[in-house]
Amino acid sequence: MPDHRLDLPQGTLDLLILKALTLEPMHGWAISERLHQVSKATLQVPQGSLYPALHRLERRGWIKAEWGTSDNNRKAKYYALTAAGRRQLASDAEAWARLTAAVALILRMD
Amino acid sequence: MLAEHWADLRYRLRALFRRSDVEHELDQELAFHLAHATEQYLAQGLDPAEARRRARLEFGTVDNTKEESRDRRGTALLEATLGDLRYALRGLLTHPIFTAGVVVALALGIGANTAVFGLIESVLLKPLPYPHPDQIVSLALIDPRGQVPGGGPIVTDRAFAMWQRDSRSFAALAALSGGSAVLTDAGDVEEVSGAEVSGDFFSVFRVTPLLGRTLSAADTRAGAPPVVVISQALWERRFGRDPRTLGRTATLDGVKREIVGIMPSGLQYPSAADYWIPRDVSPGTGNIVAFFTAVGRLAPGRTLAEATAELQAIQARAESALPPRARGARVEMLTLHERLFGSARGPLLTLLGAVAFVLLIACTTTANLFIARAAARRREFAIRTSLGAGRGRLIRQLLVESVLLAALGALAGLAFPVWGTRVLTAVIPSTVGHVPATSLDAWVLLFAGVVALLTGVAFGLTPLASLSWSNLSGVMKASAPGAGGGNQGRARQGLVVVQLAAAVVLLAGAGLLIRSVAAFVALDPGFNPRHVLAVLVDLPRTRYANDRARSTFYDQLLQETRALPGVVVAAEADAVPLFGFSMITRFGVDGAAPVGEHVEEAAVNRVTPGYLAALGLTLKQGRWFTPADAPGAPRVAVINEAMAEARFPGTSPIGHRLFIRPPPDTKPGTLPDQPLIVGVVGNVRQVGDQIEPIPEAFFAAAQDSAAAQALTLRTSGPPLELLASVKRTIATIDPSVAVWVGVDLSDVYARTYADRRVDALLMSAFALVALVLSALGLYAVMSYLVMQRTREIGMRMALGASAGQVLRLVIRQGMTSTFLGLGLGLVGAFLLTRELRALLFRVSATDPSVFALVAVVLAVVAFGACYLPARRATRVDPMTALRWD
Repeated sequence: MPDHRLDLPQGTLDLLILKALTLEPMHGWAISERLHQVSKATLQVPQGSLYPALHRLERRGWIKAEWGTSDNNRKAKYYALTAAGRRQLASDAEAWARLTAAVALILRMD
Repeated sequence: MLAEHWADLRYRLRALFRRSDVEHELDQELAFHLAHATEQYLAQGLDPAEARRRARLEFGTVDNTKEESRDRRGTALLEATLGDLRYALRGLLTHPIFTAGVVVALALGIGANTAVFGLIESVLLKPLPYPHPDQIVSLALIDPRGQVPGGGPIVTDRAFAMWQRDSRSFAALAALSGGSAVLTDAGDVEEVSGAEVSGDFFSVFRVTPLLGRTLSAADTRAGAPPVVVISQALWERRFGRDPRTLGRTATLDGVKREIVGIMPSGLQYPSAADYWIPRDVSPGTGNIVAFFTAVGRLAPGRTLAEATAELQAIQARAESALPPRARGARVEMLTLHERLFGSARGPLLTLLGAVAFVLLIACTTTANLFIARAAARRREFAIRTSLGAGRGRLIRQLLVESVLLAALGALAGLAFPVWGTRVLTAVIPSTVGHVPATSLDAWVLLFAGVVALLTGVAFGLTPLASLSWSNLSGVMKASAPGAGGGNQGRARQGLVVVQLAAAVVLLAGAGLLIRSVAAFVALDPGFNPRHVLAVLVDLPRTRYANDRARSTFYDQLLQETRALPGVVVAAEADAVPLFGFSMITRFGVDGAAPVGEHVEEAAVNRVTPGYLAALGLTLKQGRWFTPADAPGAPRVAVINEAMAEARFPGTSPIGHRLFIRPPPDTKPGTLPDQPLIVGVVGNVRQVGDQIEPIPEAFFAAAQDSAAAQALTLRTSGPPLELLASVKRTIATIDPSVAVWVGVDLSDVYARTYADRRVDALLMSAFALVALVLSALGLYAVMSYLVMQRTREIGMRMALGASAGQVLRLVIRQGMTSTFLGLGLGLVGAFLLTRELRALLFRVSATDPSVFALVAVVLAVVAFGACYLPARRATRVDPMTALRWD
């Protein structure tokens, strides 16, 4: 069966993670599941790069990590959006909107 | 913004210091993820094993994810470097011989550089240890001929008095006369060096005494009580740091002086002085001119140039009263630092250049060893590459290793500056004068660190050039020792070429300096300085105001020293070679008054008959003086060859008469008896070897009214052993007479070329190290190439190649490198040896014979280095070679 799922454009994973965390703190697995579901299974989140991305965001202070217990009583690391992360998301989202609008404009030209 | 940085820092610190916690959390996190994924597949109805497999497959390599996550923590570089360091240390410890070889080579290179830098720092870069040292200047008056009489930077008492009276450029101006004195109380009799100084001396240096006071103008006045200021060193040595030393007396050359001050060890002028005694430096009324060393402190805001111009103007005003030919003396003013160390700059920078070449050779040697080791480690690198180590990672590993080695080398090399500068300062005292103690201060350490780092990077990167990365994976398959080795063979040969070239440059430099020394030694000074004690005394002007009083003193001195045991011949003269001063007078010949431009100038030297034997002059024609050449006898003269050639070319001067313009106080009409030339002696280099002998006329001292002033003794034993008894003799004749100079003439003579000898010695040592290292490098590369080509050689021999052909094959390869290095080195030497020009004597900077000899020496040594491996190649057994794998 041909794979119709899309690869993530470079650099958008951070944006998607931040967006996914706006509702509630989540652990890594939940984030990957959510991205998969919300994109209606069209986005291929490379699971191997999810964790390095999470660690990078944590280091920059945009998300913070806490150990908690998952729904089935297992220890899991939960990531939550920080205030800095919220600001970052806002500016990234805006930049993204402008970028996609511009790209769409160009693609529509012919 | 700040908060972000703070989060970043906190995160990194935790990652670094709570590493195992962080690692554990990462493991747990990933395990949690995989468990969820597995559950999902289980829920879809897959069996547990398959579910786990799918989950893992989807996730990718766990280790890669971990590694990447670690990288994202931002501490990866540091952690990996620490890992590399541990790994490198382990690697070095398992190859102790390699490690020791590299560390020794680098210790030599870095250590020698650091030692020379330490010397340069303390001599050239550090300011003198006095307040505002740039204001302290040294003054000299250079006579119109451009020569400094006596060789040192001196001024006359008259000029000094004039400057002191008229100049407004100085905060303080002082004259001094350095010398030595015999200290006869407070323990053993000891000769100590020190100076007689004018009242302002201590205002020039502005050094506060440890105890007591300094000297002032009041101390120099006639009738002032005799006092002395001593050094901290003498205070510690002779008085045991006793604070009650002040007020005690020290007997210097028989004069009891009250100790009024103790100067800290920081005051080192004159160098290593132990005492300073006051002296009135104002000119006397007689016609004797006293010479002093002069130092001054510029008034705030005055520049060296302004002060020089002012003194020059004062000098010109004074000279307007003199006849034209006596005018034109030049005032030379340098900062004291420049005066003391300026002449050391050239030799020191040359030394630095030479040790830089030694470092270059040490680096190439090390790089060569590294390449050899890298070749042995190709398999290791290949394995690491296939396990996912990136190219950058391997480069980092190599750099960590090489910098670690360089650091070890530097550490070992730091022992060098400690004893290296001690050796250097011991052998070059006359070049550098007093060398301040070199210590491992921050600058020297920084220098060593930077050199080590650069060195490590430089030789650490060379093996990279030789490893062909694209082939690395192929290496694992290949097992022949030389597989893919052509590339490194070339790299190593390239390094050998560089080494040989550097060795050629050093050899050429050493060769030129050795030839300079040889030219010096071969030079006949015209006298024999061995076993000669020269003594110059200072007659107090008040008591020896006229010629008669002086003659009486000198006659008695000559009589009594002649009788001393150990004295072979005693003589007196105006001038002792290399020392003392000659008067220069104009002569006519045979009644013709010296007029116009075509008259001869000659140095006048009034001597006693013993002078010829005491100094070992050679009589060329006629006769020398005898005791019969007394006041009543006909006046006679002996001239030197330079004068004979200038005035009597092609004929014998004997029988001609010199014509001397009568002194101004001669009664008109009475012409003094004109001296008859009775002999010709060989030239004596009175001023030193650098200056060609000038015409010189000798007269019998007994027939002249003025006395000769330098005592010259040929001794049977070491001359300085006699100095004490000569001083005692002088004290018995007149205790107020001080010995101004008492030297072993061979010391003075050796000093005239000691610098050259030391330069040549050091350069030769460096060149020898360079030659040995590069020969070893060539030998190692040739051995390696022979080993690498064993199979090929065996094949050739199996196909009928003779031993001679194999020998030629290998030697040709080695000699190609040799000639490349030789050519490169000769070009480099041609360009660089001109920097040595100031240090050369009677040798051109591109002397063809030296260059040719260097080429021959290098070629012969290199041939030897190639021949041994080549011989080994001829013994290759074809069967062994073919079975090599």
